[in-house]
Amino acid sequence: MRGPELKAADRDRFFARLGRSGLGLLEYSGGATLLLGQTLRGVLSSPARRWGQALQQLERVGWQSLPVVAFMSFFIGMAVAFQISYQMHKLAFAADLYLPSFAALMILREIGPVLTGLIIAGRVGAASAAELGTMRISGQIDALRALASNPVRYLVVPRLAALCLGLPLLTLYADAIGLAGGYLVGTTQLALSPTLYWQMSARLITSPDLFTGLIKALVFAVIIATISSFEGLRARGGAKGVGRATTRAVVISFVLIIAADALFTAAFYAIGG
Amino acid sequence: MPSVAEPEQVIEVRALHKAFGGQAVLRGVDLQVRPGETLGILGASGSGKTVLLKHLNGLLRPDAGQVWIAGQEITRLSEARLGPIRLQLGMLFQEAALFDSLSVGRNVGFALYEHTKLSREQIERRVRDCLAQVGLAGSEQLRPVELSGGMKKRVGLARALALQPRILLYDEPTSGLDPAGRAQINGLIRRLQRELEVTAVLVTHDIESARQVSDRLALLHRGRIVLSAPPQEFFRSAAPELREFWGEREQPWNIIQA
Ligand SMILES: Nc1ncnc2c1ncn2[C@@H]1O[C@H](COP(=O)(O)OP(=O)(O)OP(=O)(O)O)[C@@H](O)[C@H]1O
Ligand SMILES: [Mg+2]
Repeated sequence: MRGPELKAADRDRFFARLGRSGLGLLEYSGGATLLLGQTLRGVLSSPARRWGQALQQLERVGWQSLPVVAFMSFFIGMAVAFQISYQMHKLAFAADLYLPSFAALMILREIGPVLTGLIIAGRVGAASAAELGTMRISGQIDALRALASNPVRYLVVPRLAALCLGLPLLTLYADAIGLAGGYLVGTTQLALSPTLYWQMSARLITSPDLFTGLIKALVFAVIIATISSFEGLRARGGAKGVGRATTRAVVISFVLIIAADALFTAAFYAIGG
Repeated sequence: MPSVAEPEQVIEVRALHKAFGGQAVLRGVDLQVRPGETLGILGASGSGKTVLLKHLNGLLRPDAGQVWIAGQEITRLSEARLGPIRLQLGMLFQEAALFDSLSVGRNVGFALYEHTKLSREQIERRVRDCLAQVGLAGSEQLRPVELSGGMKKRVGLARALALQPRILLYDEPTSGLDPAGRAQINGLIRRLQRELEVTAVLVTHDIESARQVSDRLALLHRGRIVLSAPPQEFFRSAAPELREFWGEREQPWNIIQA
């Protein structure tokens, strides 16, 4: 007698949980979208002094991230070159000739923007969520409001602006260094002539690949700025709450960056870009 | 229900209710503050004094009830519409809530930089004045992390004064100060009353300073204002809530009786 009842209760609980997490997801994306909307509106109506703040943020986004971005893209550029040449050798004769263009494709379209996006989500997104979270729990956000300032305009707008400028620039930088890593492998390990290598890559650099990668970087910048600010501004529950907001900011940014990347790539190929 | 506040009230709160996750904090608060009056609010720790204060400039929204500031009902105004009202309301936070990425000078001058067209020199002069008033002349370049609790409190007060607001909300202005600092702040509050005819609401545990600076005292108890009277009368009251506030419940004969 109790069996089916129990199952019904289980089922109800399952649907209740599903409903709750569905609602939670809806609420979350609604909240984040709303914040993004407010921020974009804020960008348009910002006074000039916000640019100074944006520049300060840009220093954190860009300048201080240069070493780690360089380090990682260089080695991934090399690894990609090795992988490509190894796999192609199994398929075709004289495959090394395709190396430059394949490596460039991978780096410009995928690795450059995604790697940079992830690094910046980890470095800048986390720091930003922690900073805003601390401001929230220590009453500084309330203090801003009490002084008739809009926390979104004062805090989020400069961050979004800095990321939208900084992330594409950093991606360009990562692209260049990644290509250099591939070049090093191609010319030293595989004995491609330097001129041939550059000729083969250059053909691609003028194509939409670079542009596609930069558009991706811009989208990732919006994701990082929105999620880290959203998490930070709604932090609650003391130091632990700030920690939680920071972790969530990084994890959710990572997931959205990867998902957006797949979506974008699919969309670009679907429309023949 | 009257649709306009009596013009002689600067602050009027009607039947204010606020709960956090099922826990009722304010359960029908009514209060009025006349122009130039300083209302002191006493109440046990956790009785909702800070929550009440944060409703007066719209930082918190009530579940029910109204807040009128200078004849305007503010509980349903958007953040943008609240802006001009907040500029007339200086608030000193219980934990000071200084912006820790900005220097003391930038903290005090924050609203001046953001909301006025004053020149940098004019702002710096005003900041210097405000810091001098709270006894911290010359500390513009310090960072909030370099300050003691009492100093933060005083910088918070200077920041609240910078725009010369007509209404001031003080949340525990003297907590964490030494006797000299306390006397200085009490003196400053009185001078603001006298010289600028500021209207104020002051929330505090510090009964002595509440008595010194308030024109009227109110007791917040279990989410309501249960007693409101001029200081003399207030302290003579035999209301049981007041005795509970004094801690008489904790006295042995009370426990034995129970
Ligand atoms: N943002 C919030 N979320 C949930 N509960 C809250 C929040 N703010 C205040 N409370 C609760 O409301 C109650 C009243 O808090 P409040 O800070 O107003 O007390 P208080 O009278 O100012 O105390 P104290 O004298 O210690 O400052 C407390 O029980 C507190 O836990
Ligand atoms: Mg309090």
